[in-house]
Amino acid sequence: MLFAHGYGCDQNMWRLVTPAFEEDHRIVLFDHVGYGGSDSSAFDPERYSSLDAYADDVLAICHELELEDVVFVGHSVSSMIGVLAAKREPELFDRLVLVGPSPRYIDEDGYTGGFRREDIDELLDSLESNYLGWSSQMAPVIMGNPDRPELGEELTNSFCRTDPAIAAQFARVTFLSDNRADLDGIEVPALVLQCSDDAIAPRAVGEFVHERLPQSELVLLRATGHCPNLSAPEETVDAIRAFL
Amino acid sequence: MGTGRTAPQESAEELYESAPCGYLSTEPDGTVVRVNRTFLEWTGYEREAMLGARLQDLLTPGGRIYHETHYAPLLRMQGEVREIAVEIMRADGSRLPALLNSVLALDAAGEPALVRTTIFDATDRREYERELQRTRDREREARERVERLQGIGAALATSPLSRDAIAAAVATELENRAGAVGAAVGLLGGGGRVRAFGGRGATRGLLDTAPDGRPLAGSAAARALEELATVVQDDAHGVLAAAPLLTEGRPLGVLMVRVPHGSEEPAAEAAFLDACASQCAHALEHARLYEEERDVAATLQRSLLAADTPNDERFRVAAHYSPGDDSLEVGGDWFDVFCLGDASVAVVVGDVVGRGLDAATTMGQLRSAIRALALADPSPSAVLGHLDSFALQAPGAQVATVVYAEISLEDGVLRYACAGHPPPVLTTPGAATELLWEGRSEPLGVRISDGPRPEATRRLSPGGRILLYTDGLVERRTRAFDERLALLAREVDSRAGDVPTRLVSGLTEAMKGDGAAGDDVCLLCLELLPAAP
Repeated sequence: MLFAHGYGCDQNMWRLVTPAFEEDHRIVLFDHVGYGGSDSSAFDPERYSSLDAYADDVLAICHELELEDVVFVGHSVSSMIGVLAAKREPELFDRLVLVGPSPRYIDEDGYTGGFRREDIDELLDSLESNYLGWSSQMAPVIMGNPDRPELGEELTNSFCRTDPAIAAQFARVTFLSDNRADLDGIEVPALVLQCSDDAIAPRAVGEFVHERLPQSELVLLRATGHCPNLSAPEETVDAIRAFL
Repeated sequence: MGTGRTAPQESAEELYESAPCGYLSTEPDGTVVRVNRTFLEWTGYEREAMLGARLQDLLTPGGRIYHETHYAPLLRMQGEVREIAVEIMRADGSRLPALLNSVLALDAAGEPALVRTTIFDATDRREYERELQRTRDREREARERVERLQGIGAALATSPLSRDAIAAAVATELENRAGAVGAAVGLLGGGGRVRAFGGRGATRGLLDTAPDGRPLAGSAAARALEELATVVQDDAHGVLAAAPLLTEGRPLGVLMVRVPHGSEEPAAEAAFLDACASQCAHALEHARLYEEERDVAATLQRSLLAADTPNDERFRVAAHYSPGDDSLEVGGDWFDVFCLGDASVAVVVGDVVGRGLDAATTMGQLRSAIRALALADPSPSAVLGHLDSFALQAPGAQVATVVYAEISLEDGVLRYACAGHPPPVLTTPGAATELLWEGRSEPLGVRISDGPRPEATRRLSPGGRILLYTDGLVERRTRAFDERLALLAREVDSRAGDVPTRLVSGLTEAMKGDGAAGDDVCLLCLELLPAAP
């Protein structure tokens, strides 16, 4: 099982979920470039100007570790990254678990994404104010020791800390992308996990994804918010188990 | 007096309700269960309206996303969150910039039970951050301006040396500038006409008037430009900045740029435009001097080439000159025809190394020298021999090539000599066309052999022709010289019926053939006419 974190925080997002699958699955966790223990110097603004680059990274991990029959579990934007990866190399994937997926965050032409363009612009503007303990003095310590993330552990907010420039671009790519067309032609069986009151991926969006993926199941969780993997790990684990 | 101070009594309730920060207690899903008076006063909400509402619903949409993607996960993962910057929507719709600190309380089973949050008013801090942001933006803009100036410098360094090309390059660089709505460069021409370069979009028509409203046309234009200072002013379409292009106080033209409202600092914009204008004016002045020199050279060459050819019933002569494609400068090719008394006529074609005014001047000197020398002693050997001495004193004439021929108008005897020059072509009615390979020696001023320069003698029959030309007619990088000479002989052969004027223009065209002529071409044809009955 390959777990991918979404926009915001690193692979620690899965720590209440992965133990339940350790016995019968090989668990692979990773941080997107710029997050957690990744090497931030690998970030190239030009390359990471679309979600395709992140999907390339997922495929690179699969090839490097020679993974087969992958159960890809993606949270938030990473569920769409998984869809892009499965579109390119469907034979690698056995199942997709999409937690709070949204192929398009902005409302338009009868489609409800949940946000207006101004809302997203405001988010992108306001990112400047939240550094989450990031400062340029700390950056060399964190970036120079990607193998030793414990050096940064002492700091608060470390799970969601990243270079503000990388975070801003990831946010821009995440919230401005339109990947609705990429849902077409996905044959890998998929589970759509939809929270009952999710401010980021509303129920209508989860239903949209489910309708566009013929091989999908939609499970509506009692959990509220956007992170059932943290707020309702047991319910999340049960739903994934039932699907597998 | 002397008694110990007693702290004023205050209850825990008062400490909570009137604390200098907002207090909120919420359930793990954000539902507010308790709130203090400070928070209510800051936000204008009623206590009843707050209880049951959720913290995230008080945030702006962007803040809600941040809450879901950072605040909530962090709180769950590390049990506390510090200094999250958000904006809280007040009851009246205004926004309170705030910093949130939260701690998560767990129940006996270790499950999340309650979240305690303090809210600090961050209005001043946010204002300060914006100030920092603005400073950073200004620095970035300044950096971009420097880069843009460097771009203009680079564009000027690679643009051809013509004023039009310079104006167009500067207008393009200014228009490509981040944030510019439009830019135009106007060049002051004769009669007060201002020619515009660039100027698309919102800058169209911009150059019709100076920023002070005076028309940029007619007799007033030069005056308006002379008195124009660098200005930055708001108008309906944005911020307009204009700077005069001056050289030693004389107006050459004007630069105008329009940027959207509020995107530039007026003073910085003016300084930037001033720097552009001085760079541009310098290049324009340089180009003007260069153009002037080129014009002088062209005039000189024209006067030399168009000099009267002798009119004589015993022969007819035609010449053709076509400048090379790849250079704006005049070349060093020339021709000459002149009578030596009544008995003979001399024809000359030469090629000076280099281009431009220097080449044109040298060409003029050699041309005059040959005429003077030939009058004293018309023999080709003597003319070229003395020309060597002349070339030693005129460095520009070194390595020039010359073909000189003297034709007797009484018996058609043709004496010729080539100093490093391609062989003349001789035609004789009823016989094959020939290349004259005798009488050859080195180019001017580089003579290695001893003794007089060799010359050769042939005879020009009535109706026969001699053709002199420069290497531009026959030299091609892709073809062997011999092949090209053979081609020339064939082409001349096939044009036996053409009058000389038609022959020289036809040959120039035919020999261009496979494109890429490049070099200047000069050719001269003299035909000896049969004696009148």
